[in-house]
Amino acid sequence: MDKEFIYSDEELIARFQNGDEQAYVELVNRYRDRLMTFVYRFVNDGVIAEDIVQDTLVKLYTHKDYYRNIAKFSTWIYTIAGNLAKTELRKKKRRKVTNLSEMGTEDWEYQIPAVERDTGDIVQGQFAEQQIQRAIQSLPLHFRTVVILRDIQELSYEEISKIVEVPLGTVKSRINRARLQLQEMLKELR
Amino acid sequence: MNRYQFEDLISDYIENKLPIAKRKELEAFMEANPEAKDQLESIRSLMKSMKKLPEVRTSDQFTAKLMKRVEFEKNRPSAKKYVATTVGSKTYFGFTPIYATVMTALVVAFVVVGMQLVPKTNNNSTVLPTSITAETSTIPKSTSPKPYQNDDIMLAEDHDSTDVDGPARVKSGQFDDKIKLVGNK
Repeated sequence: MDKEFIYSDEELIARFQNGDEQAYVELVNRYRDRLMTFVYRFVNDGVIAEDIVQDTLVKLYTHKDYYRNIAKFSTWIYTIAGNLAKTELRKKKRRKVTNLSEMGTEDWEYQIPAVERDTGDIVQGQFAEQQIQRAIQSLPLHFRTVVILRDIQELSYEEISKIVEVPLGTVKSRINRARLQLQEMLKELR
Repeated sequence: MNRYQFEDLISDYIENKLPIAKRKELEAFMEANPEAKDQLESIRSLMKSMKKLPEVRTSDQFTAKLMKRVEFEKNRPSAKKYVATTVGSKTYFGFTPIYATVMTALVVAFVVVGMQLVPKTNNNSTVLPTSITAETSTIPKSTSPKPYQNDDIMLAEDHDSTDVDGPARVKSGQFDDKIKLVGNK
């Protein structure tokens, strides 16, 4: 995932804080897809995920002076995106309360089309992806966040600890518990 | 090692973060419990699958939309005001100069009003409302010192012995006679 860049993220944000707008564009190009993957796995809705990533990057523009060079830029931007995603999920949950009686249990969280298992490797891969995505969605939020950051975004435990603002030991424990829960839910997939 | 202890160590084992002794203990447990080994392999496989999940990309219009929003934010009056007031300006105890001034004025006003409300007597007893003191007071009103009145002052001046023009003043002739009589004895 890490590529070699002329400027580090921290150098770019410093340049942006000093008025270099091109540095902002470079940061956007570096992070938009990474953030999109993270947020999409979190909220399971492409349109909402893109809106959240937009909000995150607008916030980066308007609140650039809030960043202090004591933390990694990536942890800062992931924290913003994660908080916005959580806020959106809470809003979604409140909205859903009014509609629950009109929907079937399967419709509550996701709208995934039915896909046959035995129609080839690609379809099987898509099926597996959907099943994993569905299983991730049913995890509690504090498990969901850490397992996405670790197993999909491949961040270090230390970075995750800073992003979610909980001790390292708690992060490790949550990731382990999340994997156990996912494995339990996806037993029949193997 | 029991089942729960095994489950707690699965991630550390897969990520090679266990000390050798603990690692061997875990492997011995898996030898004795094949379903535990299946569980561990299942989690390892899940982790691989999650790493292989495709990256989700933003739409083609993403950057254009973002730049439009950024332009809007740049030209928003509140954003300009924010830039003007905060960027590059000093703060005092975390407050901007305007807020610091307002806060200081409020604190001073509070202290001044508070001092005005403190009773001026040195008496430490609790000050009761006037209605209660009026009902319970046993001190007769007459005992309180009578204030001076203008008439009293006038009266005192009327009887002053040094007053050369007072009404009780004897006539100068009679007065002089009395002095002479005493002197003659």
